[in-house]
Amino acid sequence: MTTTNNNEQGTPWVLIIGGIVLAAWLFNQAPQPKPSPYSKPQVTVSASLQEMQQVAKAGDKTAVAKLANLYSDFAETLSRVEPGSLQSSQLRTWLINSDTYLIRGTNMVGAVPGFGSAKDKVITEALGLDDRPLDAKDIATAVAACRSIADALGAK
Amino acid sequence: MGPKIIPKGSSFWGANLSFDRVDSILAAYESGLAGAYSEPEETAALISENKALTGFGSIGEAATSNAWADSGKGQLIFPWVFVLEQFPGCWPGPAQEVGDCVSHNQKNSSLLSMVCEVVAARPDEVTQLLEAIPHVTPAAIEQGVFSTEAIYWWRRHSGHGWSCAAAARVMQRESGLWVRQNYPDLGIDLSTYSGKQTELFGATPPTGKIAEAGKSHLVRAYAQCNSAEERRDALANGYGLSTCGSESFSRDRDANGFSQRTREGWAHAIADIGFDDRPDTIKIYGDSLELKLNSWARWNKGSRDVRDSARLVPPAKRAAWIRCGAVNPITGNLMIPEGAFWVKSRDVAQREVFAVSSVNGWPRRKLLNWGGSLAG
Repeated sequence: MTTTNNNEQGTPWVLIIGGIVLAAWLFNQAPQPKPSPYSKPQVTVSASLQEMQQVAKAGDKTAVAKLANLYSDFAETLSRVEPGSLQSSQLRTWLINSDTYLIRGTNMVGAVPGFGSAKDKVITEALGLDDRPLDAKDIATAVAACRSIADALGAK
Repeated sequence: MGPKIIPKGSSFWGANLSFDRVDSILAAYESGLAGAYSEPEETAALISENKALTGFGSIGEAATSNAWADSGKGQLIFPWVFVLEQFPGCWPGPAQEVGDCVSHNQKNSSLLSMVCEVVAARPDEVTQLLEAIPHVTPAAIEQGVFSTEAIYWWRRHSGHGWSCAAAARVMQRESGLWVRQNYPDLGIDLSTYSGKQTELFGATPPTGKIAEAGKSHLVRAYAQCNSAEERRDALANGYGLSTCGSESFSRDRDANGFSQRTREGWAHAIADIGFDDRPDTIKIYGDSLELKLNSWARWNKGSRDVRDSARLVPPAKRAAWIRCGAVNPITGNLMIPEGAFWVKSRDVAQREVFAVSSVNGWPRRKLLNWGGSLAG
């Protein structure tokens, strides 16, 4: 008898608790959005970015704006790179080539003194100098570094 | 029972040997070409020199001392994948054109050890520096990454054939790994494998600048493997195996990439690059399986799929491993390289086997900077 009474009184609670557990389980089974390798870049560039901001203030405004666009575009391009398909040395070559194509033969040459050194510091702080294949985290870091450079130069 | 290999001089093949097709290689080996033979005095010297150098004459001693004995027990051991990942298409490499299987075997086993050392970020045994994968051209990769001729030049006779022990001693003291490239300062071009080039030196090894250059990337140490368990544990810890023996195998692989031993017999050197000690593999074949990499290019046929291995492929690596030919995109299983085949451990129990411990490799490259800017 006691057992029957307990069952009669306990059943609704058992059902409620069971329902909560089931709902929680089903929620966990629902497809979760996959974390993007680029969603939370692990990069700290604030120290060297201060130098970049000072370089930008002192430089030619038009040249600074063009460099801001260049690094903004660079971040966009890099975000489409497949992890493992790009080596640090290749990224360096990309940076050098794009800088050359944009600036050589124009009045931008020498227009933003200290930019090259400041830019190198930001990227070195983010990626180091080891020549290696860039994995998803490295690429996310490189994207963030380029965006930070663009922002420091006043990209809109 | 010790290794069973034909003794030196039992079937000596002189110069002017040249293979142009796989069939002619097979015919030569099956009619008695002594590509690999035994030299007990070289074996004894190699073991005693390494015992004095490292304290270990055998992998069993090294494994016990370093607490990795039985570390490969019950596992599929697939270090070859890391080589294919770094150098896609490097294996099987060019088919040997003369009786120089020992140098191909030495190169392949050293390549595996070198890559595993870098991938595992294991510091060099002597310098204690972390090393890097050398930068080589796609053409060099297609040609097997490293030269075999520049090892074979130290065989010290003008004919063909060598012993694994003598070749190991050369790689440890005189001529190690040479990247496949042109060496204009030395007057030699090792970009492309050539049987003819093996005959540049023979009875008298190179001297002067070439001899000096040979010492740039020597093997650090060797240890003998005396059992299947030692071979398994060596491979599980990233040490490639150089092996010499007299067994021959079928050109047909079964659905799991396995080849039956045949009667003909080859006095041949073949590197070991993997091991399957999984209980269900032992149940199917009655023994553990060892993965041999031959030096006859695409000489055999049949499945290259590694049974029930898809679950061992890390999801993050799957796409990259498909690209480098280490994973079958349809089945998701690991794949053995072209030219390779699995054999039963008991079928190769009498081979003479040496594990390549480490190579004096290539320093990690650092960028000078990120290129600066023309803007200032």
